[in-house]
Amino acid sequence: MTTPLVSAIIGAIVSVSCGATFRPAPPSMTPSGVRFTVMNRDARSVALAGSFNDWSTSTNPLARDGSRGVWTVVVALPPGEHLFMYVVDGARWISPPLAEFYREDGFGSKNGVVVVQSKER
Amino acid sequence: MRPVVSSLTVLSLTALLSLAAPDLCAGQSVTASEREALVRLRVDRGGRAEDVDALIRLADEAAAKRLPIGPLTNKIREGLAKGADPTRIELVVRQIATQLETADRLIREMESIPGNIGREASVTLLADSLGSGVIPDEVRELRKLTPMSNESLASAARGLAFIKDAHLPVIDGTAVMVEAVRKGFRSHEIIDLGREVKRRESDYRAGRATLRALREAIARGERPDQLFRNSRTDTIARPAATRPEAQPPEQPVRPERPARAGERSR
Repeated sequence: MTTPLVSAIIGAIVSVSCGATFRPAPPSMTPSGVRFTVMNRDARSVALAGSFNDWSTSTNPLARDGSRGVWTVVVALPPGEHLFMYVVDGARWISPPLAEFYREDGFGSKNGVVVVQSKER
Repeated sequence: MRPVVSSLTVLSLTALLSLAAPDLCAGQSVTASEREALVRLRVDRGGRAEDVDALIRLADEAAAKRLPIGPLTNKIREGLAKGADPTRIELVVRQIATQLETADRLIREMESIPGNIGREASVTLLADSLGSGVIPDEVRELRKLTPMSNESLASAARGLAFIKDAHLPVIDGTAVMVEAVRKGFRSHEIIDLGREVKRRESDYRAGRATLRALREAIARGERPDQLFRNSRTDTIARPAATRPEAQPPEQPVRPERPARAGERSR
């Protein structure tokens, strides 16, 4: 009898906790790669496209984290400078709202730049 | 039955091919599979396959001049993926091809040992620096002030591009880069030096830090990890320095809840 109530409470706690896990931020390093996060409440899909994946709009999809419209993905990248943008709903290219550096792409937008340091330092 | 081709001929051909192999690789044109992928990208977005021909021709022309074509095919792919007009893509790719040609010429006129290892990477990096605002005379000045390898030269030019991007005096930026090369900084350390200055652009422009003091610190023997130690963190974890002017964030960037214990604050 109490199981659904307990589940609901646990679910709510988990949901709220997860909602606070990722916030929109510049790309950041994690043990398994670079974490990209972006906020978009209305998107049905968001993908990461960049110089590291041949600007593919499908190779690195972001996962929606909770209900607040935060999308995130972790991608292993080799050391060096990489350019990137986000692709919303498979067609709309957006400049990263948060990135450490930006570079003009020559087509009227700005690519975000993410720098991955080599481990030898 | 006698074999049609004697084993001696086979050996000679193999030797000739192996000798020619590095040259063939250096001038490699766009492969059939790359060509097919680019055409598919254009057609999938409602364009014509022929639109891609002129773009591929530019890359092939660069290959014939023995220039690296990676930056060109990457830009073509980027433009097609973003649905840019092919004439616009052609313009941008032509600019990059010119920068590659200039970089190749600069390295050729300055290198003491032609065709040394990593030349292609050096040409690519130097072309990137030229595309980021460094001019050929500034590259020549770097080489004139101290002898350096192609790799160091390209890295110093890239570092200088960051300093120019921060609107700081080129002469002081050049001195910083040259000092770093003299002190044996590695290529990525030289580039990082310029990048760190760009990150601290406001400090340098307001006079809270100076390129002269930075050069003196390098001359004293301070290593890259000591130079910015007061506020140094991992490059990638540093907060955003700027935002794109043209496009504001899609949504307000405001956390709704405080971070959990143990989570890194941003």
